[in-house]
Amino acid sequence: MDIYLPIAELPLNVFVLLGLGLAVGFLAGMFGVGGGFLLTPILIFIGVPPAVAVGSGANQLVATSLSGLFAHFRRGHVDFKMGGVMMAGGLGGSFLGVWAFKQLREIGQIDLVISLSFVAFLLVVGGLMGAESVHAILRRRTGRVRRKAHQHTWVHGLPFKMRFRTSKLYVSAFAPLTIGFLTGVFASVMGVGAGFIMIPAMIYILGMTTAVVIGTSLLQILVVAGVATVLHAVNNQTVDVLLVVLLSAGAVFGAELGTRVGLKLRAEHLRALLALIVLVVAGRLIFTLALPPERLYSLTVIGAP
Amino acid sequence: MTLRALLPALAAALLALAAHGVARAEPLVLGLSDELIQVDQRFTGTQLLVFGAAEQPGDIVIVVRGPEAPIAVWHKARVLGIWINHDSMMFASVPRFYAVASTRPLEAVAPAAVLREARIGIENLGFWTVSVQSEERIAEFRHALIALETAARHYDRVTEPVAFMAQRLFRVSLSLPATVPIGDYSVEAYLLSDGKIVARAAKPLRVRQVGFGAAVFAFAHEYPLAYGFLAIAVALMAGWLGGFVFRKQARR
Repeated sequence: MDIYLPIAELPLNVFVLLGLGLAVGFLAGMFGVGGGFLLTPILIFIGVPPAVAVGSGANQLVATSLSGLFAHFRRGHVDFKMGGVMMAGGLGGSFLGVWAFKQLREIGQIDLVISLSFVAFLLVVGGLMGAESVHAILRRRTGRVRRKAHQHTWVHGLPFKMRFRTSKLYVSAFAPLTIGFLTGVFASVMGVGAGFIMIPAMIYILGMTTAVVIGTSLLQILVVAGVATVLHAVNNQTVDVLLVVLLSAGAVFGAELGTRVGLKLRAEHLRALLALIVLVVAGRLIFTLALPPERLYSLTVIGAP
Repeated sequence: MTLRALLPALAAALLALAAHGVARAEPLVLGLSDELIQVDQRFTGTQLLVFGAAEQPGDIVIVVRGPEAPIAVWHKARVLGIWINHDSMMFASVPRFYAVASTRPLEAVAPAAVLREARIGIENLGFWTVSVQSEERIAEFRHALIALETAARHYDRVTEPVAFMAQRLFRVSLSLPATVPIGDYSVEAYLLSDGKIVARAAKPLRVRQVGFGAAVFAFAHEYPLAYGFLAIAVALMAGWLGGFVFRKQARR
């Protein structure tokens, strides 16, 4: 059964969209990330114009992150103060990201930038996470116990320190501000929540405990994705709300399923699995960039998605 | 309504049209099965029946011209090991949809000059560029644009010939794809004899989004800020519902 999407201006199969939402929600529930990294490329693959895929992806991210945020909030895993500072940075990042997206779209390089950003992003994150999780698995095997919760890095020497009660930290405001800013840029340009960058950054650079990291990152993603959605809607008119509704319907069920499966795995095994997925996706992207394209020519209609 | 069911009614309409036309000495009259194509949420493409009557014998050519827009064509080339959009050309007044059907192949109907002047035929679409690149490059980009739009079923050289029924009544059925561009179209009929156009007729055709989809589109374009907030609200509601269902989150 096909449904015609008003902003994307093409009909798509309802079940394909529900299934896609289910898969993305499953990843969110299981790993605590937005799942957008999978959503945007697949939407483009099935024919949605890239600009609409990114704008609608950011919108769908709002639904997915709120759903996870509730569960974490109930357990006190959300540091609102830290989230607040990061969001201040995220706001600036979103504005820059959406403006950059519009400029790139106009010079026709948006596909390239999205692809390259994805590859760099996925490689870095996949590599980092892979290394960390394998290290954690090995450490557990040899029975070595972790030394202490916080390790002081050069970051702790920066000025403008603030007290963050929930994370039990006393650290410069510049760190979360910058992390938030970069998240904002990524969310707007790629339609991805950049939870991948935030989570390792919060764990290793800020020294936050993992439990609080996931909850706070979901809060950050939620707000940044929301801002990115509004900015995309206003600047580019590329948010297809009907597409979002269908994806979200699937994502809600997927998230429930994903959480249940995720609970059955050890944290470091989960991280290793996610690192593997991320690296495979990066590999495939590199492959498509390096190989001659199916079509040498493409066109864009000026003034349409 | 199937086309078959439509035919008796059409035949009657045609005869009335023809009689009317003959009475006022109109050499060519034209009618459409739908003057408004309504694209609703269930739209997956549709058929358009074009029919009419000609007062004298000759060839009929039907042209459906879609709305015009500027289009940029991009060419990928290998730069530093990866394939990127390297070169581009912008064309103005490009029809976003074009279909042509005729009783006989176009080359047999009229000389190239006549066809070109009336912008009949996919080679004669009439879009232009101010590019300073070589004639060869321009021709390559033109060709690419036509190939891309043909593949997307936006440009159609209808294989089924325009058929003559009794009394100089003609008809042809055209297929509009699922991604048919929204906008104002013009359906034109030409009567040709001895390689010259002896009569022409035209009818407007509108392709519009209707219903819920149209409301969403209009809202998104006219009140983008409100639409953005609405989109967030929708997502928040979906997420809240999910939070309800999605109660067990792993402790990490």
